[in-house]
Amino acid sequence: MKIKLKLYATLRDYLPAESGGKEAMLELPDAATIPDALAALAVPVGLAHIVMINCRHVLRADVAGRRLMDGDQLAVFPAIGGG
Amino acid sequence: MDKIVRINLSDLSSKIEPVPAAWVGLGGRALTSAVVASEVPPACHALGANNKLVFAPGLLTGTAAANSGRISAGAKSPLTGGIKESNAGGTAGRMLAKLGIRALIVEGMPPEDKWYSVHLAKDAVTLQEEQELLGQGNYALVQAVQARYGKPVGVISIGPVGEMKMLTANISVADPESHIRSLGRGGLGAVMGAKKIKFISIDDTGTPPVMPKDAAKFKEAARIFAKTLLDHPVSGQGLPTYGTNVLVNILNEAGGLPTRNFTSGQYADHDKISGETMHDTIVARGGQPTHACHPGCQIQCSQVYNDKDGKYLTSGFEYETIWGMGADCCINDLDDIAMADRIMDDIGCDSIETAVMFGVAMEAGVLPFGDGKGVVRMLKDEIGRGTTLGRILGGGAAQVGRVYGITRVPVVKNQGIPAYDPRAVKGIGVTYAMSTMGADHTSGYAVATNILGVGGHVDPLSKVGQVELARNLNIATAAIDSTGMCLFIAFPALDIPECLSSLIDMINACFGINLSGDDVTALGKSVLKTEHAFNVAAGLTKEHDRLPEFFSKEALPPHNVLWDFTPDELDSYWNF
Ligand code: SF4
Repeated sequence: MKIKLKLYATLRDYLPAESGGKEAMLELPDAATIPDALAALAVPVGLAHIVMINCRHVLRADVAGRRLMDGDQLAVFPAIGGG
Repeated sequence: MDKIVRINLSDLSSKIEPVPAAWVGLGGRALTSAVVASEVPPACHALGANNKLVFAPGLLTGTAAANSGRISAGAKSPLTGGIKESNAGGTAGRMLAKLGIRALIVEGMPPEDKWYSVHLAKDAVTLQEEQELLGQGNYALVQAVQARYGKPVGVISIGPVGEMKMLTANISVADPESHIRSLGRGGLGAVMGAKKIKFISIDDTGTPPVMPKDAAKFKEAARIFAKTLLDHPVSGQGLPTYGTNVLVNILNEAGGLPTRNFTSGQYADHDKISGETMHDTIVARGGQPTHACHPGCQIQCSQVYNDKDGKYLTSGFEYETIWGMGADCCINDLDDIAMADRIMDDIGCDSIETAVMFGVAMEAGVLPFGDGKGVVRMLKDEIGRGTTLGRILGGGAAQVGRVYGITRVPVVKNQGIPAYDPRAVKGIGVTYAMSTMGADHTSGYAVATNILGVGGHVDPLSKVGQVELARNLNIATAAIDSTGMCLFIAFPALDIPECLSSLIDMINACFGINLSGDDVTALGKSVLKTEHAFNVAAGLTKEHDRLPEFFSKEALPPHNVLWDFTPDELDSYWNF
């Protein structure tokens, strides 16, 4: 399956140079999980502080086991804040 | 010795008074709200002689505690019609605290059409007529005042917008580089303009730092506190690296970034105005991505943004301003937004109210969406000069909505809704509806728990748990706003228990008292109840604790969500 992985803030350093620096299309085996997608770009799971699939938050406890589906947009942020 | 300084413009007198028993142990917002509640008739005209403008450093301001240098200003707000407290960094808070001034109360109205300035120094309060600096913008004014005294005195001032008493007027506070921080919201600059005070200067020469009663205990607590700020990833890394504008992308991703006057939750050009882009731009132009708005700030979320030629353009360039001029007005050029930010600081208008206003004005066809150059021109030539159109725009979002017959006007109690759409970030919507301040994200920042995973997670799209979350955050914030702490200490405070316990230990060591965590919560509750009682007496009823109708009628893409709280659910906020 194909998914889009969007990385933000300091995590953008993990994107390959040819990606344009914001997101990458990933080809993953069916039944791949969020950690599988992160591993494809060597992003440490521990830095994935906020994770959204298709604009909805994934609870931190669910990140490890959450399976991805073809066409998913996975967005990952380190710890950030403001206000 | 601690004192209250009272300036009365009606008889041009100044007095130094002891702190009355009822106000001992209060600082910042707790003190400004206590003074306003006890001395300002709630039904008075906010721009009349009976309103009072109160400045107060926080309880810990002036000490060596990290991030403790905030100053609060309070009054009846001419914008919301209720009580107002607004706080900022800069150097003034620390200097007031070092002079032992727990509160400066400005009251009455001058009998003649003359303007004044106030100078505060060790054992001296001077009220004098001011002519030379009338009409000046804040940047030039700070330079001129500091040149007059030959040293970097603290400066609290209003620009032309405050002189003209427009409802968007803010009060500026000079930062350590003589740039501008803002007591932004609620039109407090118009109250200062009504008192005809152009600026207040503060010279703390000859005063020692504020000494805690128990220096050893204080030092140890301050060390633990500072470590928690460093250890938490948001205050230790996220905020210093990207500043608050890192929020553009995450709010966009979550579908809660109000766009094109609150008609969508996502902005196609979000990356052009994002914190990531801004960081790279600042670095490439030799600006400063990390900067402290007051001495002793350890988090340093501020920054210095240079123009294309590498010259200083603005600082304290915050997410809410960039969101407002960016996504909400669809201006996708950061340089245009930075120029607008600089002009707003200079002429002295609240960048949130003004940005929300421009979103409404664009919907009304006053200028097209995306017209950054038009915004810059109108700020300078219309609002800054007080033309008829400028005075309409300078009245804020609610006024422009009324003048142009617009129904999609994002305000609560007439104050513009900032940066987080309440339909898609429901916890902050409860804060907007219920806050004693009108729509104010800082009064109970539920975004932390709804979006940022700080203090746990409460689903932003569901109603479940939001009223309780907003209530608890508003209570905690009222207490934090009284300490002189920057609100961003709330990120570690929500996740690391030692942050709050060491903060309380610092207060106890400073004053030789023995507050518990429950006492601090009780302080927060009592501040909110005092403010609420003032608002009710001023005529703000339950029906004012509501969001505008369009939020429950127009579904917000991409989640296509509505605002769906019942009045009873909202009113249960006050069950404490
Ligand atoms: S964290 Fe930011 S707003 Fe808070 S005191 Fe520091 S620079 Fe000012």
